[in-house]
Amino acid sequence: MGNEHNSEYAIEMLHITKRFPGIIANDDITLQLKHGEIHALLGENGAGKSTLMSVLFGLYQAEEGVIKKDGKEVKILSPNDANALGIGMVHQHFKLVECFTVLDNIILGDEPTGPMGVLKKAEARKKIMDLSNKYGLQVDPDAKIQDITVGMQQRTEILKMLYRDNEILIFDEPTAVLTPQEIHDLMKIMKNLAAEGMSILFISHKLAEIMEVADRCSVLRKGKYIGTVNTADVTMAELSSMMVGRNVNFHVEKKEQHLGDVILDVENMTVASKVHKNNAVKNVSLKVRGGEIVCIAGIDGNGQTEFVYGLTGLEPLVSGKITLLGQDITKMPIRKRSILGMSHIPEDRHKHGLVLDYSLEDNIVLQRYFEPEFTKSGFLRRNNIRKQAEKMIEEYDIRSGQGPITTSRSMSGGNQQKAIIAREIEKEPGLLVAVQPTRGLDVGAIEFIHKQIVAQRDAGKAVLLVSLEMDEVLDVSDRILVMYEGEIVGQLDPKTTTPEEMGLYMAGAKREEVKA
Amino acid sequence: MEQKNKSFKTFFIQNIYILSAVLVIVVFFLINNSFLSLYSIQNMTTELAPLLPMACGIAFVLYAGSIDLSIGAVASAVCVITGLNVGEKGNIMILYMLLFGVMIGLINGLLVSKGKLPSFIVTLCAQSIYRAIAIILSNPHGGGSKNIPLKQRVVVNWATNKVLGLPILFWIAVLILIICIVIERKTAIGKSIFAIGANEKAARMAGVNVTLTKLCAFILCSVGAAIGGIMYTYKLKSSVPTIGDNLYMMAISSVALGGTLFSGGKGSALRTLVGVLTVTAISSGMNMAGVNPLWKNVVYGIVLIAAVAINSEKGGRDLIIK
Repeated sequence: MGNEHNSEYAIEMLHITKRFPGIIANDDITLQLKHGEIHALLGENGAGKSTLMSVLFGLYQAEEGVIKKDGKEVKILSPNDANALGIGMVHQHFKLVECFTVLDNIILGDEPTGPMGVLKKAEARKKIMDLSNKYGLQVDPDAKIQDITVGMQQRTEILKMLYRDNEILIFDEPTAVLTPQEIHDLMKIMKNLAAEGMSILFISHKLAEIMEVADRCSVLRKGKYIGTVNTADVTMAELSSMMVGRNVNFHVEKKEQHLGDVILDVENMTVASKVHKNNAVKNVSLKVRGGEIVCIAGIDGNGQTEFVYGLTGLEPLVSGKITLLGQDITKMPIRKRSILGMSHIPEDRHKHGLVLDYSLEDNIVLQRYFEPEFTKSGFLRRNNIRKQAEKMIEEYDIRSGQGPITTSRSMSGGNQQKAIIAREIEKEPGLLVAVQPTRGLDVGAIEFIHKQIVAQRDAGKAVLLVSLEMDEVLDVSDRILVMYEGEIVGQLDPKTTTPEEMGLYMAGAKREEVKA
Repeated sequence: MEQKNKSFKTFFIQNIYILSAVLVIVVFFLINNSFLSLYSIQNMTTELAPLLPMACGIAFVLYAGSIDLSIGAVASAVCVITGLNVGEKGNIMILYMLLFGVMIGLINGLLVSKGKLPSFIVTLCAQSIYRAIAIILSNPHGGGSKNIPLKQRVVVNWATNKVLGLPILFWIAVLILIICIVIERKTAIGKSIFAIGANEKAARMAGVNVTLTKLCAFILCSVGAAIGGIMYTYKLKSSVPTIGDNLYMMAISSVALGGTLFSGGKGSALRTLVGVLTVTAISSGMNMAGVNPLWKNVVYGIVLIAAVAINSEKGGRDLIIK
């Protein structure tokens, strides 16, 4: 252990392992941040970037591994500990009090006070304006957060870190919500900060930005550490292949395709965002025909979720038109869409998929309990419901403690997902919308679910798959549409494309005009 | 264009509280011209004095995103204890009662912040307890209101003496209002109270001590209620065990009429003052118009719902009592 080596790094995270029930989010990851460098952390969704940063910021505690600051081991049990060590973080979704002014937000929790707890705002204002001028962080200290641009909100977050004299700055996907001009400004600010001796960790999956601003880049994939490179020594394509890895051989058997009629036709759909003032989905048009699996690929947060909400009726559209099986369903309530022939395997199975405290059998008939088969004169026909549940359990191999009467909450994630899939497919829909249907599941369950989806396609149904998993996109789909910042930026053929090419589209480095 | 319309609408809604106050005063003035006579105004300032500290107090709990339903009962208990003892013990009772208020706020606040119980339940139970205490203490004295004996009244008479034409009680209420404004605008604890109401997570991440902040909000609230109770004793020169039964409705209505959000994070004592003026005007105006007092609570109920409906943000985040 050479001492001069220890002082080279501002922060070292050595052999960090963090487990969540059923998943290893960080598996023996090592990250070393030099003084005064901008260090990018690159990885797909679920690669473990956010978990690793949450460990550093004290939101989670790692089971194994040590964190060192300037070569000395430290314990970080809460954000306050991190703050005391000079570690600050700009979260992807800002942690600001909307109805407070910029100034009040910056000093909140660290207010300079005089006798009787009276605020010394003038002092704070001077410190903030000095910092603002020094680093080119233009803010209006008296404007309320709710009235200012996202860019200024972010500058407020940065000033919040600088006000607390933080010298290790974590930026969690800082460009996701910014306009190109604001991104340009942010890059300049980050370079300024690094030049002044701050050490910056920059989480991103946008390759161009990493190449532009970072000195070094560490890559994570599926919770594992892949490597660290100098950005000057690599190309975007090399980084992309480090991020996505080689295509694991995990092939799904598919019959020859027989294209049918257009089942779903989305025209110029625009959906508002809940997080920022821009629209999350911008003028998206697409068609899905019977007998094909169309996959919307992209990195999380590029509008896929909002697109599905708009399509399935969970959120109203700003504009656009949706036609399902020849009927205009743009303003149709969710139940009518379901009866007409739309099935939805939702992204969040706990929030939108199951009533967790209901029994398995009640969840199985959740969308059909009112049909004559299950209800007579307002009373549930329990025997029929039981029979239906038993049939589903048998056919879809749903494993649970007590069969139909098991509380859904007590089942494993894979079996919960199987129950949802059984329910949605059994409705014999014209269109199946499956959003990240295999997220967090083990290999066996993934294979089973892929087979079910392909069986729907082979039966002539239309399938719209939304996935963040590169392998899944390439293996299962017949046609890939890449979504980036709310728009479809590319259409790819899974037979001819490569993960690297797809990665370039997903990271916004490449785009083409796509007609529906 | 659309933006402009929207901001005008926002401006209108944000300032509708002033309009409602003016409207109420104009209507009662038209019904009865003596509504704005000097005597009537003097009378209203005496009416308003105890309500203002209570409303300003509970406003802090509302800013923090919680609620306190016990303030009326606390005022009753304080009014009874003060009324029965002030004649013998003297004005030192004020200090004791303020400490009593701190203690009640401490208990409520600890149960909510440390015990993680919903403030609605905690303070509903507190309401039941302090209301019962007020009645139990009154029982040996006939169970109802009891006047402070005539020869001991010298102790309390100062409070209704007039300075600059208005009773001292009113000036004390104004002083308390100013203190509340200072706490809101000039202190770290005031800012923290708003912050936890608007976005508790962000406040926690910024390093705000959420437990301590909530505790402070509840203490300020109960002390405000205690001051209200003391003032009623001094104003009525008697102990009235049922005095608080309507007060929490009046206080909450006042704060709501001032445009304070029930989801927390927004509001000000000055706005609460306008709300208190409106509620007092309604109360006095109805008296002067000869309306049966039993109808007052019907009116407060409707006013509260209307005020909350107008002011609430329709984002779905509203009216979540933490």
